[in-house]
Amino acid sequence: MKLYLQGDRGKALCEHCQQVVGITYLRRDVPFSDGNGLARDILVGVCDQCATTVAIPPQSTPAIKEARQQPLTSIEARLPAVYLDVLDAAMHSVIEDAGVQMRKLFLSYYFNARVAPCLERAHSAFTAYLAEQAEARQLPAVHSMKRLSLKVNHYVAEDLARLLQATRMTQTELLKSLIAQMREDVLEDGNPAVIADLRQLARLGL
Amino acid sequence: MDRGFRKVRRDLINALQDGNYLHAARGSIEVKNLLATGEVSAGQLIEVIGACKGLDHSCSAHHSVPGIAVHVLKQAGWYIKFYFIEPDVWFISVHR
Repeated sequence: MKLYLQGDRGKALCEHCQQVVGITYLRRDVPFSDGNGLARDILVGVCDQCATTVAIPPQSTPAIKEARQQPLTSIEARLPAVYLDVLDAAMHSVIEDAGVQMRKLFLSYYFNARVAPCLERAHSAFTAYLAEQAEARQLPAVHSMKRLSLKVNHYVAEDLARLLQATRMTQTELLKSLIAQMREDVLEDGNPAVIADLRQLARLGL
Repeated sequence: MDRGFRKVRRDLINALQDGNYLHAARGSIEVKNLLATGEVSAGQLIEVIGACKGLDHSCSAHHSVPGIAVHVLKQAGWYIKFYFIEPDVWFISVHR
């Protein structure tokens, strides 16, 4: 394989200048064409006339591959089973085709929603409702727990971190509160704007 | 245009084997160039190109530099777009 060095010269077709131009190899941070991230400090060929990156040698591919494989962040929690039932019921209410793989999408939506001020009230209302129902129906106390496991990209992980900081809740409390809020928006009062957003997201995510 | 299918295929495979190739860019890394992003290797691509027939190949002049012939190979769902600026092959797209 030809090894290019910083400062090497060559020629390439520059789409900006619309001609074959002289190029110089140097190191740059180069974004991906889909807008998701960039490869840092890779050797590229740059147009001598307009300074656009016009050439990428194969020796830069391993660094590009590593930059492309952004690690996913794992979000794990053990929640009372009824919370996951509510989450799944809300998803099913929005779109019948929803499966558990859609939990990530729905919760990610709420990580970014401006719901922080309402969460404590929504969660208190939900726990009160559960207690009332258990008493009215004379149900024994249950302690069934289920595991919620999500792997999210760095954008969603950052949204969650911001919300955790804003609410000062633990991650488990926050997830429970978001599900309580989802119950209000989707299963109870019905917040048409939120339902429309979630339906659109779900259609894209299917 | 500038060369027939058999010569294009031979020159392309030789360039991949010898490392005489580069990836075309327009200020960013084209995510539809899986050879550039490392999601497909030169060896895997050589196998795809080796299976191409004449009917899988098309060629047209570059839209802004008519002297450069842009080649496309379509084979088994693969789409490979490239041109030659001697002594190298320049890949625009490699995806399926």
